[in-house]
Amino acid sequence: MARKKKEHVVLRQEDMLRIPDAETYRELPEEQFRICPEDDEAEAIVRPSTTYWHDVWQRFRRDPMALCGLVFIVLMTLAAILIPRFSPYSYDGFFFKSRNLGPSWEHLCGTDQMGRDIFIRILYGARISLTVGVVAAAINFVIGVIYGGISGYAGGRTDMIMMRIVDILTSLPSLLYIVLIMLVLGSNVGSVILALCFTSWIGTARVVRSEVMRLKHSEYVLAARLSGATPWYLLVHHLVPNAMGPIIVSTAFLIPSAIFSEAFLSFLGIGIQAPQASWGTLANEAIPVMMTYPHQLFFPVAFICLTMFSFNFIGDGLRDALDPRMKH
Amino acid sequence: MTEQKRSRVLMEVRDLQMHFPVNHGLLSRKHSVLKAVDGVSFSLLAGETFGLVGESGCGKTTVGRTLVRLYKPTAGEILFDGTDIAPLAEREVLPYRRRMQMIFQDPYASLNPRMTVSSIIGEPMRLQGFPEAEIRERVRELISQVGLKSDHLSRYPHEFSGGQRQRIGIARALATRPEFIVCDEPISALDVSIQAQVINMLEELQEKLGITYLFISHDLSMVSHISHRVGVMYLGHLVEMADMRELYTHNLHPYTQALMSAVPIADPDVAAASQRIVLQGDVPAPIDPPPGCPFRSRCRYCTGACAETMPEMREVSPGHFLACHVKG
Ligand SMILES: Nc1ncnc2c1ncn2[C@@H]1O[C@H](COP(=O)(O)OP(=O)(O)OP(=O)(O)O)[C@@H](O)[C@H]1O
Ligand code: SF4
Ligand SMILES: [Mg+2]
Repeated sequence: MARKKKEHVVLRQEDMLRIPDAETYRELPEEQFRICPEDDEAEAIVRPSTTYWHDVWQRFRRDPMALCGLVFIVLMTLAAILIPRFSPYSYDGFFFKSRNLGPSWEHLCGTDQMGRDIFIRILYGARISLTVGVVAAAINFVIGVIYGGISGYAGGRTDMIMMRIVDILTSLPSLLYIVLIMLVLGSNVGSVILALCFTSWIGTARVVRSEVMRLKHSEYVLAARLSGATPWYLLVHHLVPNAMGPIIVSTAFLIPSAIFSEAFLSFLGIGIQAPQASWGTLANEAIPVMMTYPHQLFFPVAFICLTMFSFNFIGDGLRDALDPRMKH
Repeated sequence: MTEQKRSRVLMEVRDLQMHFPVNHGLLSRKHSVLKAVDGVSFSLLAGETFGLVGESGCGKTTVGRTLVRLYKPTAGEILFDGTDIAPLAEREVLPYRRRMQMIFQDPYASLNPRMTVSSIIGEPMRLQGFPEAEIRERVRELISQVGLKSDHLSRYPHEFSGGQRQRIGIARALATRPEFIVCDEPISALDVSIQAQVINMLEELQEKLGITYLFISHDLSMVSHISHRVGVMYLGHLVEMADMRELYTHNLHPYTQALMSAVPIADPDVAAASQRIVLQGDVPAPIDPPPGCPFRSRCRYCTGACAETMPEMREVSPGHFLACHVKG
C-alpha cells in the first residue's frame, strides 16, 4: 500500500506568477535536451498489476513452517479421503489373530486389542477431526460475521446490548453446557460440533465488530451511501471484504482448537463413542495397555500433535501474510 | 458559462443546523451538543461554483455532507430544485441521490482497495438500478472522459497515483449524471503539479455538463481560482458571502480580512503596502458556545454588542452578505 499523503500542498499565486530568472533560460546542450513527458507518462503506473490475494500467497509461501503445515494437512486430508476406500482393513470388527501387533509393513502403526489396524483407525479419526474443525470454523465464520457486522455497523444502543449478551455467554462455564448438550443430543459428530460452536463464534464476532467500526466511516463507504447503499450492501461489498484478513486469521485458529476439543471430549468419554474411531477414543482405549503396547498410544497422540502444530503454523503464516503490520 | 445562464436557483439552504451529540463516557448523564453547523443560509445557482472556505474544523465538510444528505440535519431546510430534502427519510431521499454526488478529499481512502476500477466507477449506477449493459458502456465513456485508459478498468486502486485515483473518484461522481457535486478539498492531498490538472478538468466538466459545484477548501487562494461566489465560514456560521471579485476587493469581515492577508500577493507594490494580519487567540470548540459573535475571541474590532447578540447576515451591497456588528 502506498503511503498516505498527509501534507497539504497548496497552489499559490506566488508560484504561478514568479518570473523565471536568467539562470533558468541557460541553454541546454543537445544531449541533455529531452521532450517533457505527456501527462499520462508523468503519472505512469509504477506497480505491476497484482491482486491482494496474489500478494498474500507470495508472502505466505516464504514462511517455511506454514508451508510444511499446509503440506501435512493436505497430505493427511487426501489420505483420510482415499486410503480407507482401497484398504483391505476396516475400522471396526474383531480380528483375533492380529491382536496387539507392533508396527510393520503390513500394519504401519500396528494393531489394537481387537486386532484392528491402527493406521486405518487414525485415518477414520482424521475424517472426524477434519470435519469437526472445518464445519465448526465455517459455522463460527458465518455467525461471527453476521453478529459482529450488525453490532459494529449499528453501533450505539444495539451494539451495547449485543455485546452484553456476548459477555454473558462467555462467562458461562464451557464444560457445563458442553456436557449438557452432549447428554441431551447424544454422542455424535453433529452434537459435538454444536457444543463446540455454542460460544466459540464470539471471538470472530468481536474481531468483525471492531473492524467494521473502524471501516464504517471510511470515505468509500460514504461514497456508496451517497448512492443509496443499504447497511446490508455495505457489509457485504465494502466492510466484510476489507475486514477479511483479521477474520480469516481468527477463523484459522479456531480449527485446531475445535479439533483438540473434540479429541479431548472423546478421550473423556463424552464425545464420539467407540467403535467409531476418533483420535480421542483411540487414545482413551490405549491408556489401559500403555505400558505393554506403547505404540497404541503413541501414534494417535503423534497425529493429534502434528495436526495441532500444522494448523497453528498455518494460522501464524496467514496472520503475517494477510497483515504484515500485525507481525510481532 | 455566461452570467445569464447562472440565474436558476438549484439549491437553497435556509438556516441549516447540524448538531452532534457529545459523549461524556458511558455513565455520565451530561448531554452536550457540538454545533458543527449552526444556522447557515445560502443558495446555489445552477452551473456555478460556490466556494466554501474556513479554518479546519469550522464545519465545511459537515455542510457538504448534509447537503447531499449523508447526515440528516438537526434543523433547517435544503430546497433542492424546489423540494425540501432535509426532513425526508433515507428511503425518500433515494430518488434524489442520482442527482447529487461528492468528490472526496483523500484519494487513498475514498476508493475501496478490494474493488476494481470498473466496479468502483459503476457502483453508483448499480446501486441506482441501471441495467448492466448501460453501466458497462457508461463506465468506458467515463474513464476516457477523465483521461484514463480503458485497460485501467480491470486494475485495483493501489496501482494508481494520487492524481489518477482522484480522476477515478471524479468518474464515479459523474456516473449518474448529477447536477450537483460537492468537492470536499478534492486537491489538497495532491502534488502541486497535479492540482492544476484536476482543477482544470473540473472546470472543463462544468463548462460541458453545466454541473453545480460546492467547492470546499481551507485555502482562499485555491477557492478564488475556481469559484464564482465564495462563502466564508467560521465555527459553524457563515460570516461573509459575496462574488469572488467583490470578496477580493471589498472584503469587510475581520475574519475574511485575516484570511485574505495570508494569501500571497503577486504584485510587489501591493504586497509592500498591505500587511499581514495575524489572528490572536484560539479557535474555541463549538461545544455549548456562549452567545454573541463566534469570532469575538479573536477579533480586534470587538465591541460590547459583539458579546451579547449574534450578528445577523445582512446585504451590505447587492449580492454581498456580511454578519458583523461593526463593519460594513
Ligand atoms: N460525525 C461527527 N460526529 C461528531 N462530531 C463531528 C462529526 N463530524 C464532524 N464533527 C465535528 O464537527 C466540527 C466540524 O467538522 P468538519 O469536518 O465539518 O470541519 P471542516 O471544516 O471540514 O474541517 P477540515 O478542514 O479539518 O476538514 C469538528 O469539530 C468535528 O470534530
Ligand atoms: S461582530 Fe464584533 S466580534 Fe464579530 S466580527 Fe464583527 S466586530 Fe468582530
Ligand atoms: Mg473537511
